[in-house]
Amino acid sequence: MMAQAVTTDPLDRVIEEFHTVFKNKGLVPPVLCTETILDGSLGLESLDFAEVVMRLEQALGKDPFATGTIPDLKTLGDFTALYRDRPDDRLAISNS
Amino acid sequence: MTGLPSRILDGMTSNVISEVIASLARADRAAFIAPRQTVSWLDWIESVKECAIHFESLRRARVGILLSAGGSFYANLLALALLECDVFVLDAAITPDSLDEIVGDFRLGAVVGGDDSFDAPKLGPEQENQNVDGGRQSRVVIFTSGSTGRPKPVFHLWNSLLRTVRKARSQTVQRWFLTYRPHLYAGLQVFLHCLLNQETLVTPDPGMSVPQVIAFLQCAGVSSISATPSYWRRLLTMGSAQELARVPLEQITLGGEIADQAILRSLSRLYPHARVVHIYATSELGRCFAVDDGLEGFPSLFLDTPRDSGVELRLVDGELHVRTINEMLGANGGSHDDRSGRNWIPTGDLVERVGDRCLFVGRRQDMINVGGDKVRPLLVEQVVGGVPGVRDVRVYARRSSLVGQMVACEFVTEPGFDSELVKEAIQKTCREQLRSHERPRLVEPVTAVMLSTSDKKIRAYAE
Repeated sequence: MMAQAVTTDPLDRVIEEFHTVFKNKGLVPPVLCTETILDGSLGLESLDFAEVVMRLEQALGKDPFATGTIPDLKTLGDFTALYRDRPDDRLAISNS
Repeated sequence: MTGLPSRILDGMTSNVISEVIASLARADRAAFIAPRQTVSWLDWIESVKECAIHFESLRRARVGILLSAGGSFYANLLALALLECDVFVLDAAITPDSLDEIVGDFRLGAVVGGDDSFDAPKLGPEQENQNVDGGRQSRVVIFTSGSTGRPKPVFHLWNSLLRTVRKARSQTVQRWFLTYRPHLYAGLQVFLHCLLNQETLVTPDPGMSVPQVIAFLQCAGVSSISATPSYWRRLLTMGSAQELARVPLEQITLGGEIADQAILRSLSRLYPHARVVHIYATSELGRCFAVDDGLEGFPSLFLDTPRDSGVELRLVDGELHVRTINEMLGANGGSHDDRSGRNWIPTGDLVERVGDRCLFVGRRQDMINVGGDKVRPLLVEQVVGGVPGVRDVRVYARRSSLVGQMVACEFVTEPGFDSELVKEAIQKTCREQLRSHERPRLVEPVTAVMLSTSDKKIRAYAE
């Protein structure tokens, strides 16, 4: 079960798209992990987050923000969890 | 004119189309050149008359016609006009569902399908020959391309359609190449131009590749082309400039979208002896004006000064408004006093006045709304288009759940350039020259930019 969760985990893809957005802005991508705090200190503005979400929709075929509700997100882990099929996986991954 | 029943001849003396047909009676030059067939005007007139006899039962009815490019299809069209039908010109590739909808919405009595269905169409059970009301002129209904929504019907009179056709300028008989879809306004105008001037319409087969098109242009001796700038960009991108230069062009007419300086320059270089004109026309307003000084946009002088063609222009909040004497019947087909040139009509085209020149900067509806900030796709296209290695570019709106829309672009790479390096150069240039909301967030190399069915770049398009 863990193995399955890891192979389908969107975290790698999420980090990859964040890195692309940093590069497109002309910035050197920082090291990102599930604990990275998503706020202004990261160097991204709201349009850049919108770009990450648009890229992830293209890559994963899923847009958790499409319903119009924007959940309270603090970390990259919180953000990534929105892309998992089962929210329970979040614990398993962040504890691993 | 032998052996025709007298009722046909009677019909033929009563409308403008019959006068046109009568004036062609002696023209034995080519009317239509297709890859496998040439038809003379003389033979074509005979087939118009045969069609008119065949369709006699439809006299003065409301009739749909599925119009493809080709002499027999145009013969059907003219026969229906002779019979004073209200003709609804439809895309031959229309889906059965859309056709049913149009037949129902407009209570069409019959649909004429072209040369392979030569059974006389029957009127539907509840249909009468509906437009029999004394002296009213029959109408021709052309649908808008629908590249920005559902196709809208625009009602015309044959008179008004024919009036905007220009008398041929050249001493030599021109061979016009049809690049537009035949059922759309621009396509019909090219046919009507050939008809009134007894010139020749050259029609390609659908699905020809660009090199095949160029070979056909050469062997058919095409001397005039009316096309969108995007159509030309596709020929220039996917065809050989050397082969293109061998087409004996005397006249190039651009229309349908903005003719920028780059395309005007490329065409004048490739065809130094050709007259390059760009035309401003819409399905609803008809032809408004033409510019032939080799520069993009139009002289500011055109504003606020009535043109001799009866077309007036003005800017309202940066948008071009037009008032025209051309007799349009409006989208509802209602009385023509509503729209007969007394009203200023907004065109949706945004114009910037720079000294003595007015430049088109985009369509109002093409504006991309990024979190409330408006972006003009054309501005972004100019920036991206200036990057070395970029041959063509299309900027469009991509849906975003967080900010509504974001700017995206696709580009075609010049031969000899690496598309990944060009992509990086585009991103760098956009970072330097554009504001954050204007910067394309998706930049993708493609082999050809996406065009609408009427060969225009699709900008207001959210995937």
